[in-house]
Amino acid sequence: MQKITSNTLVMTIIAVAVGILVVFAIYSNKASVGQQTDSSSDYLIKQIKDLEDEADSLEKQIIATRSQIEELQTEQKNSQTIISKDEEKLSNLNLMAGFTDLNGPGIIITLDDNIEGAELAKKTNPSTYQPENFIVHDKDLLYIVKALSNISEAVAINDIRLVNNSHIRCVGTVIMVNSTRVAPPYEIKIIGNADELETALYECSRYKYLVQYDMPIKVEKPEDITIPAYSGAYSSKYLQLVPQDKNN
Amino acid sequence: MWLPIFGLIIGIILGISFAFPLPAIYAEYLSIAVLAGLDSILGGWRAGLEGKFKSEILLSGFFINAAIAALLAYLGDLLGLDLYLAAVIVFGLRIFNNISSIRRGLIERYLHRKKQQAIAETSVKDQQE
Repeated sequence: MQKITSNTLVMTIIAVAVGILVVFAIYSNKASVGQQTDSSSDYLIKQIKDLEDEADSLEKQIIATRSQIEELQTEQKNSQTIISKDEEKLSNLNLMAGFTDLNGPGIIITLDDNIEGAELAKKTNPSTYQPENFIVHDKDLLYIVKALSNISEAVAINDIRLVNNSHIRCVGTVIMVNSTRVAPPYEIKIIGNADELETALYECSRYKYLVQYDMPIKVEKPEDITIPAYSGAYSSKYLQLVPQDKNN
Repeated sequence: MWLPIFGLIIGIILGISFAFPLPAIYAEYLSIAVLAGLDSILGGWRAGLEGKFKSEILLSGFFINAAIAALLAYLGDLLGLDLYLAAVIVFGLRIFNNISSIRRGLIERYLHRKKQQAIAETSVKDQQE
């Protein structure tokens, strides 16, 4: 009997322990089930929030990108206006530099050698005959062109465009304009105010001198003169730009 | 033999009055420990019926089985295998075995007593006659 009671005691103790364990297990299981649902819904809520945050940030990014695009577009517009301005400037410069064909109103002065006068002088007075008095010299062309240069916008001699580095020289018996030989009659085409040019020409001492020597000079004032582009090049071998910031 | 059942009821009452939810991660191990405990109790009962009861075996079995079951479940968690199912199945089978053994033992004892009673009654009758 003694042994049985002690055994029963052990059994009872273990039974109490198992009972407590059972209740704990049931409680924890319920709790864990609740927690699991909680945690899973928490997880889903968190996921939704994360996705919403992500969407928000993406939307912000879209807005930022849009504003960037707008900025770039305005920048592009600005640069386009700059480019068009530059192009305008460039075309103006081309115009000034003589790289384009031009037309406009102006004056055409045609100079020729005084062949008749020369022959007459040869016949009548051969001893004093000097042929250079009856031909057109480089200086004639140069002085006339220079005398009118302040009011002429574009100049060509025998369709050779004169630009700021052009020269008119005498090479032996011919005249060279821009290293191209020209022959009489010399046709000086000038675009500008025709009347002003005409008056300036008549006031020019060289013109008076030529008239004095009976050189055949013809002056026309057509509405439309065409002057070809300068076919030569500008030398910039020794040129250097002064840096802008130093200049300022 | 009714004392352990009272003990179980007392334990349940104690548990209800003191129980607090444990963290979810321990719930699984606790369930397995419960199974081990139930198995131990039923095993003890069965051993008592069969006359082979030893308190040392019962106690050691209770603690070690519960511990090993919990360990197995933990290992299963680590490995990503539902190893606790093995413990659940084993303990379940053992519980069923124990219960059937207990049932058989109880019924046999009952029948034996009845038989003895009948014999006693007949012997008494015989003596009376």
